[in-house]
Amino acid sequence: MIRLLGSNFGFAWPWALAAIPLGLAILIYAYLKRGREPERLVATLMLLRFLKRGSVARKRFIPPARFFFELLLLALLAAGAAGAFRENKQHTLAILIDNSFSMAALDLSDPLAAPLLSAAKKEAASLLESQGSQVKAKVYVTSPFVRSLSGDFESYQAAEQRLSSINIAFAPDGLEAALGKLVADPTLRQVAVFSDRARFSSSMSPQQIALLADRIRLKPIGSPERRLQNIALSDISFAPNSLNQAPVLKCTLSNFSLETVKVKTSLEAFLEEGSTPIEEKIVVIPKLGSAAVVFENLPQKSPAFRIDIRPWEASQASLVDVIREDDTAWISRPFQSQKVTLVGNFNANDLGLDKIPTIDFEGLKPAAYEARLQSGAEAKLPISAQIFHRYAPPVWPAYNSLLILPPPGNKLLEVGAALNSSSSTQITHWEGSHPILKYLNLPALNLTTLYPLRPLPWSVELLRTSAGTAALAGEFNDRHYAVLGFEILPFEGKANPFLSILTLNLLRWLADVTAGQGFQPTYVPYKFSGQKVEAVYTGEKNPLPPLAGGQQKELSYSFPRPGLVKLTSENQPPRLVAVNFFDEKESNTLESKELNLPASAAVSLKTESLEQYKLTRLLGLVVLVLTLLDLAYQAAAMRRKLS
Amino acid sequence: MLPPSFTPDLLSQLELLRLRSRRMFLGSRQGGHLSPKRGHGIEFSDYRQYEMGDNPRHIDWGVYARTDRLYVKRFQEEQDLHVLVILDTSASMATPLADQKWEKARDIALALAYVALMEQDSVMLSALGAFHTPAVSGARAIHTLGKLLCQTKPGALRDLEGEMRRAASRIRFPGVAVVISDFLMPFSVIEQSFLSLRAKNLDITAIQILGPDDINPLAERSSALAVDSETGEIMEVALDENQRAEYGVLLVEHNQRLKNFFADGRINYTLALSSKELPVIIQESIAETGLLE
Repeated sequence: MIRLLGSNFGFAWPWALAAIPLGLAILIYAYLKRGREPERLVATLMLLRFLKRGSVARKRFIPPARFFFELLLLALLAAGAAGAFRENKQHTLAILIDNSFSMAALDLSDPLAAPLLSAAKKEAASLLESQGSQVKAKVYVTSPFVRSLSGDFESYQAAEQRLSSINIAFAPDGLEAALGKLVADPTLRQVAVFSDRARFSSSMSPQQIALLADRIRLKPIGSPERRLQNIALSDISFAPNSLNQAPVLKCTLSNFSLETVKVKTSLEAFLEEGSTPIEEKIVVIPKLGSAAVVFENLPQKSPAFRIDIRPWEASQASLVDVIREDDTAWISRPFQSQKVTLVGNFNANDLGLDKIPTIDFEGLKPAAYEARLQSGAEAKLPISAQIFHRYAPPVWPAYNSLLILPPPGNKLLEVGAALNSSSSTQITHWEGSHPILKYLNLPALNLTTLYPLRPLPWSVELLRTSAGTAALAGEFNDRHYAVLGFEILPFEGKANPFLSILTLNLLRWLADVTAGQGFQPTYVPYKFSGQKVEAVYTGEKNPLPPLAGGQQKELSYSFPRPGLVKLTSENQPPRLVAVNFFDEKESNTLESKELNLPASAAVSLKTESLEQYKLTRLLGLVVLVLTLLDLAYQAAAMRRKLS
Repeated sequence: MLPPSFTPDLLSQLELLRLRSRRMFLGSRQGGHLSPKRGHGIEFSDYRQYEMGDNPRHIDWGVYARTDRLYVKRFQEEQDLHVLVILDTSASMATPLADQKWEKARDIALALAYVALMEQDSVMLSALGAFHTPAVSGARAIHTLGKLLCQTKPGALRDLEGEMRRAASRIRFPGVAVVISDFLMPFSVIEQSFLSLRAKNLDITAIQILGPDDINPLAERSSALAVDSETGEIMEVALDENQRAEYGVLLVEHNQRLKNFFADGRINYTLALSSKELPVIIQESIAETGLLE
C-alpha cells in the first residue's frame, strides 16, 4: 500500500506493473527505430543522402513530447491492469449480531453469567469503539430474518446505540443466508459476525477461509471450550387416550448435557380466572438423550395448559440448563367449540352433524328463525356460522352461512327445477383452487339430485355441470356465503368421504374451524377471520399488531415469543392460541456449531469490493479520453499537412 | 494580375531593360531585334553591287568615289524575339514554404516576360506540369500570364524530361529560352531535360534558384527525420558542424557540375538566392548572364 495525499493506494495484482518497464523498453526501441525527431520536409534528399553516416558523436536518446504521452498511456493502462484501488478513509462495516434462540444461553465464563447475546453486544460495541470515525456501520440481526436496524450507514456511536435494542428472537439464526446476503452487498467492505458459531466449517478450503478472513470477521461468542449444557422441552401435543376417553397431554424432554439429569415437570391448567397447578412428575433424562412425559386426567374445562421443567437439583440448574426459555411449553386444545345454528326441519343428530367434534349445533325451525329475525334477536349472537338446510331465509343472513338445497322461488337467488340422475349431469367446471374444494376428487362426484343455481354477481361458481351451477360461494356484505344445489347431508364421516370432506371444508371456510397441533410456532403466520380482532398475550395488556393492519376480513398474526395468546373478536367466542418455539439445534448448546459459507457468498468473495476497482474504471476512462484527444490532434495535424 | 512584388517602381525599372540574345533569330513580325533577314532596318549590314532597279538613294557614293564602282548599302531587318520562359513547378520549388523559392522563381519569370512583352516580343510561358501558353505579345498579356502563375501551385510536376520536351515542341520560332529551376535533381534528369531544348537551337539561359534551406538544410535543428518533398522518402538526418560542411561541399560540387554542363552546352547559367529581393536578383544574377541590357 502506498500512502499518498492522505489516502492509501494499492494494487490488487501488483505483478501487472512489470508491464511498465517492459513497455518502456519497447517504447524506447520503437522511438529509436522510428526516429528521434519529428518529420521535416526538405526539398530533396539528393545531397543529404551522400553525407557520411555515423560520424556524429554518440547518439543520445532525446525523447520528444509524444514519447512521454505514450509512456503515460502505458503507465495508466498498466496501473489499471494491476487493479489499482484506493482505500476509502472511511470503510463500511456491517455488524451482524446473532440473536437467535441459542444466544439466550448463559455464558458461564462470564462472572455475571449474562446471556451470550449480551456478550455479543459488548464485543460489537468494543469493535465499533476501536474503529472510531474510520468506520460507517450498519447493525444487522439474524433472527427471525436478517434485517438492518440502521436505516443507512451511521457513525460508530449511533451503531453502538442500536445494539441495546437487540433482543433474543425465538427463531433459528439463519446465519449462512444472512452472510450470503451481506457479503454480496457491494457497499459493505467488511462484515463482523458475533455468534455462538465458533468457527468456519472444516469442509471449507484454506483458500476460502483466507478469503473470508479479509471480508468476514467472525467473533465467536461464549466459552471456547463450549461446555454449555442445556435441557429443553422439545415437543408437546395432545394424544388420544387408548381407552377412547379424554385425550392426554404428552411432552418430550431433551437432555443436551453430559450428565443424567433429574427433572421436575409441572403441569398447569388455564381457566378463565387464571392458571392452576395440576400435577408434577419427576423424570430422569439420560445424558444426550430424551424422555417422554404423559399427563392424563386433564381438566375438561381447561382450554389450555402449560408445562414447566426444572432440574431437580437446584445447584445443578445453572450447570445443566443454560437456557431457561426452552423449559416452558404451552398447548391449547386443538378445537375450540364453534357454535353453528342449523336452521331447518331436521336437527343436528338427524343430519349426523353431531359427529363433527368441536362444533355445537343449535337447531332452529324456520318459523322460529324468522320470528327471531323479526324480533331483532338474530343479530349479535355468539355463533360462528349458520346452516340453512332446505330452507332459504328471506334476507341474506348476518352471519357466514351455508345454504343447502334452497328451495326454488326463494327470495335470495334463482334456483332451477330439480334434475335427477336420469339426466346426465356431468361436472364441466370446478374451482379447484378454492378452499372449499380442497382435497376433493371432483370427477368422482355423483350428483343424484341437482337444483341448478343461477350465479350471483358476487359469487364464484365452484361447481358447474352440464345442467347448470351446482355450487357457488362468495363474499357479500363482509360475509361468507356458500350455496349448494345438491344434498351433502347427512354427515357420514368415513362412509362417504367426499361429502364429509366437502362438509368440513365448508365449515372451515365459514366458521374457521381449524384442526391444529395444539400450538402455533413462533413467527409462522396465524390467520384469523373476524370483526374487530384483538390478540393479547395472557398476562399482558398491549395487543399485538396484525401483520396486515386494519379491520380486514382475514388477519394474519405473527407471534414473536412462546406463550398463550387470547384472540377476541366480535361475534366469536374468545380463542386461546398456544405459541411455542422448539428447535433442537438452537437448544443444543453443547454441540459446537460450524459456520458454512453459502455458495453465493463464496462467489461474492471472489470479487473484491467495488470500491477497490474505482481507480481501474477511472484509469480506463482517462486513457480513453487521452487516446481520443490524441486521435483528434493527429487528424487535425494531418489535415493541416495536406492543406 | 501581377503579384504584389510588382510595384510601380519595379515595373518602371523593368521597362528600361530589354532582353538580349547572343544570336540573331528570325522573328515573326517586325520588332526591336536585329534578325538575320536583310531588310529595311536602320542597321547597316553590308554592300552589294548595284543592280538595275535598286533605289539610287542607297548607293554609297563614298565607295564609288574610291572605287568607281556602284555599290548599294544593305540593312538588317529588325524583328521580334520569341522568348520561351520555362518554370519548374516540382514540389522542391516550394519546400520549405518559408524560403519562398517558388514565389521568387515565379516573379523572375514574370519579370522577364514583362521585359519581353514591353519590347513587343513574343512570349510563351511554360509552367512544367501545369500549363503551356501560346505565344502572346503586347503589354497587356502580362496580366494573363501573371494570373496563370499566381494560380499555379507547385507539386504537380512528375516528369521533368517529358514536360520539357512538350514545352520545346511548341516552339515555332527559335529564340531565347529561359529555364528557371532549383536544379536539385539527378544530373541525368537535367541532361535529358535540356536535350530537347538544345535541339531547338535556342539561346538558353538557366537560372538556378536556391533557398536558405537548400544551402543550409535543417538550420534550426541538428537532427530530424527528413522527408523528400517529391519522393516522400524519409531519412534520419543528423547534422553536426562537420556534416554541414560536408553538405556545403556537396552542393558546391553539384552546382559546379551544373555550370560545366551548361557551359559545355553554351547555356548561360546563373545562381539566384530566393532570400534576395527581386530587383537585386535581376540586377545582379540575371544581368551577369547578359540576358538583359
